Amino acid sequence: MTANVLELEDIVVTHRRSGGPAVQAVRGVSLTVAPGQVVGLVGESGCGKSSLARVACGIHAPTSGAVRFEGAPLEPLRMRQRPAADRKLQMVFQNPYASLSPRRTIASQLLDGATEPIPREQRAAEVARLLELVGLDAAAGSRYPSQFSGGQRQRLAIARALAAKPSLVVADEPVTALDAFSSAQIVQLLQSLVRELGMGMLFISHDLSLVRAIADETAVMYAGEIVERGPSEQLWERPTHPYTKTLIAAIPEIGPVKKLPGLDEDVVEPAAAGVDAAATNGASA
Amino acid sequence: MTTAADPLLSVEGLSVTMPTPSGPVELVHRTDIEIGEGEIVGLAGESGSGKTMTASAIMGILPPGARAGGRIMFEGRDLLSLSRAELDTVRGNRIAIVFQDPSAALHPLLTIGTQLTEHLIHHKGVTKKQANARAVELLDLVRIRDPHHAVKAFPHQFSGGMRQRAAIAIALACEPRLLIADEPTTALDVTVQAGILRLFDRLARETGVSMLFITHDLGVMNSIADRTYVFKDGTVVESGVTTTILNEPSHEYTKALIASRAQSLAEERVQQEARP
Repeated sequence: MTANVLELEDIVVTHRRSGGPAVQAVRGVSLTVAPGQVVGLVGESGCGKSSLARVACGIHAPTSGAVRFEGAPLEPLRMRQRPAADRKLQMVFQNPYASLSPRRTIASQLLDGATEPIPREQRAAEVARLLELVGLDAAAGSRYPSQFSGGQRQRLAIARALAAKPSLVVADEPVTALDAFSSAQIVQLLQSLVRELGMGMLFISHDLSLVRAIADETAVMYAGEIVERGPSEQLWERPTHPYTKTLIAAIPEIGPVKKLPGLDEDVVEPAAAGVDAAATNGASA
Repeated sequence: MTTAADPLLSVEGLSVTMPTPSGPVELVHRTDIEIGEGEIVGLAGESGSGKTMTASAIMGILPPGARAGGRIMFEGRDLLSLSRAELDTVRGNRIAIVFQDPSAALHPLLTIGTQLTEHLIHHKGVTKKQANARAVELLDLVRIRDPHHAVKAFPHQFSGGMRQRAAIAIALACEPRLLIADEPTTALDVTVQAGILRLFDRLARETGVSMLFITHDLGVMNSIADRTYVFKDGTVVESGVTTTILNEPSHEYTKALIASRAQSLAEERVQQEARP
């Protein structure tokens, strides 16, 4: 028996490319999420966090390693509907437009993910309950996704995920596309939902400040590995890994004096790939 | 900081109107902005607040059908009254712009060198050889490694941060007096952003170019801009020295913007959890 709702054990993800060497996006990552816990996964472009997120949701199978959801191995998605037990794992993505059908009313699609059929006479009440959970009026049910703002659409995508009464939500950059006010509201909403419903959450973002605002535990990912992890506030106050320190130093802050972020202008950006080859070709052409 | 001398740019009572199927809509209302010599001035606000429309009016690149009213005084002339031909001697030459997405700003099929030199040859009438030498200098100025090779590279061979550096080099090619930067670091990773902000700061000090820096990120604003104008619904609601505005905001909207930052949320959470 295990208390963790999600367990990732020694996950490796390798992407094969035609005409190039395989890329190892995730290099042996282990991670657990307990009920009622928010685990933040932070990293920059190309660090492998989205590859790991897809494995955690069962969208892709890992190249090696084990994914356990509520103690049982998670079957990767196929063309058919997921078994009801696995539907307790839900996802919220960056783009709520892509999570909602534009041609169906909210009420008609909100319950798609429900794990058991809901009798017709109870559907309206269930839709109203879900909308209330995410802070929307029951009248929203009769409208279409296009009639909502970006922030409201993300609330609807969250309500759709909650229909399955999830024990785990994997949220991959859920507020990145939103403006500051909507983003702050969604963060507060997710926090209160985790507390109220006791589910676990894996919150993935490129923004360490945001992760600090929502996650109990933070894991910092760099080049396919978790380089540092710990309670969010401790990691923020006393980072030990050089990359975490660089990341924190790079965040621009409001302070009493004008102060540039970062340690040095010459950031360690890799030289452009293939520039030398191209230059040689250009010279010989 | 600016002295009592005439500002480099003075936007006076600017309004921008866009046609819509239900009649014209005014997107920017009677806005005044000043930028002094060598000053970095910020425009802050949410999407749709009118900051990009204001910058587009200054650059003369408003969308088709949009109309600007008021005056935009730059080097003694009202930019809004210039003919197309006169404007072409200003745009890309005396005033240059850097956009959010360098991939869209750079031509994918031309080398970085070609994109730098076509600019110089057009505006400055220099020879190809002189332009090539200057292109290498410019790439060195924005700290692109190995500039002799980099001029022969195509945009796709650069990382996002390097592409933005190349776009900045192109904007600086003709030694503009004013550089408009519209969310130039928004699409970049935070560690890369830090490098680009340091680059902008050094360029302002070394070349004396004035900057109009647009961002929705108030942390970025605090790190780069001497003075800031806060936009809301097409007009300036608060303006002044950046550190003053952000540390002692007087307008409710500025306060709300600061409170909604992730950093503020995190600090609020720490305080809440510290309470018994």
